[in-house]
Amino acid sequence: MATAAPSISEVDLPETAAAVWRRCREGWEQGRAELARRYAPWVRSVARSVFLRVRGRSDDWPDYVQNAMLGMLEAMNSFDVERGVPFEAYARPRVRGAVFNGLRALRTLPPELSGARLSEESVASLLDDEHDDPVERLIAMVSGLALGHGLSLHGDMAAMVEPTGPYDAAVRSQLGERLSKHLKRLGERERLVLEWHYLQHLSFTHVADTLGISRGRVSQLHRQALLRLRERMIHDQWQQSL
Amino acid sequence: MDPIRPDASQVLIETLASLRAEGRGRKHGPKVEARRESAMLRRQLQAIVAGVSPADEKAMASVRLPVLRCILGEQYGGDLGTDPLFAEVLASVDRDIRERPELDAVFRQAIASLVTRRSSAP
Repeated sequence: MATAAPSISEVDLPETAAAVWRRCREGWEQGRAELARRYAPWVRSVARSVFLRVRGRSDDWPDYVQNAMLGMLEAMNSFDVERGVPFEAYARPRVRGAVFNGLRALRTLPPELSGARLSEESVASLLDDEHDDPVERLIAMVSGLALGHGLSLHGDMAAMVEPTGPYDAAVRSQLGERLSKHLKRLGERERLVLEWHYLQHLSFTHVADTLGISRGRVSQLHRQALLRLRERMIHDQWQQSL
Repeated sequence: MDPIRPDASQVLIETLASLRAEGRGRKHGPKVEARRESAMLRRQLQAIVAGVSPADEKAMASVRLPVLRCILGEQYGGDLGTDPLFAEVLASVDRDIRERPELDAVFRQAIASLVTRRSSAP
């Protein structure tokens, strides 16, 4: 007997957010990470609306995103899906509040402490490699730093600038597009570590909490992911030059 | 044959010759090529730092950007010179090394190694 074909609603449709929230409450370990991944683009849009409203300095953009992400993670702790309110509606004032609170702190910082810098932990993770040869060590370090900055700058540019005409398309970065392409092809955990650290500007500690793993493991995944990204970029370049 | 407009085979021969001259006439797989690229990169770096004394602060500072550009250009594509993101990335890495002593130490060790190997080469 032929089995009935599944209906459209049963095929390839992502689980609804409410279902993920419920599974999360029932103890699904990766649920929190899944929810954070789903809401990350929305959080960036909230950060962006504040950034545009207060005419923020582009150097400070990473702080806006980081504070918004922290606001979202806090809101996730207290949200109850059974109340029937969408998470975005519940979390929006909290996320905006976190961005504005961060803004106050930002205004009291000396200028040399604000701006786009790679975190101490990502630099330490990069230096923790196994090369005995000092030249290979330099090459690995420079490549890793460049990938980190590339991801961060490209993500921030994409969030702050809306392409409006053919000129914007012309100045789009080829390097940024290659980075995005290879980032998407990494394994789930490696990709999330890079996305949350470089695009959402979360610390290793927050990434570890969200993924439910140790900070040391995040550092390891970070190093591994950058190495893999570097290999793919080089392979890409090798193929292009054929 | 028209001397101004060479025929297609002549163009092909010249292209292959120029590729070989540039060391880009690929015959092997990615691993062999990676080793060859690595050796080529090392030679290019040695040429940049030739004559630089690691104790000379000014000379070390002057080779930092060319060394970084060489490493990143070779790894991610020499055609990135006009890419807006590439310029920013390069400046950011340069600033990292300038401002962080632990990164500067790695840079200095590598330059010292390149200079020593060059001067001890036969």
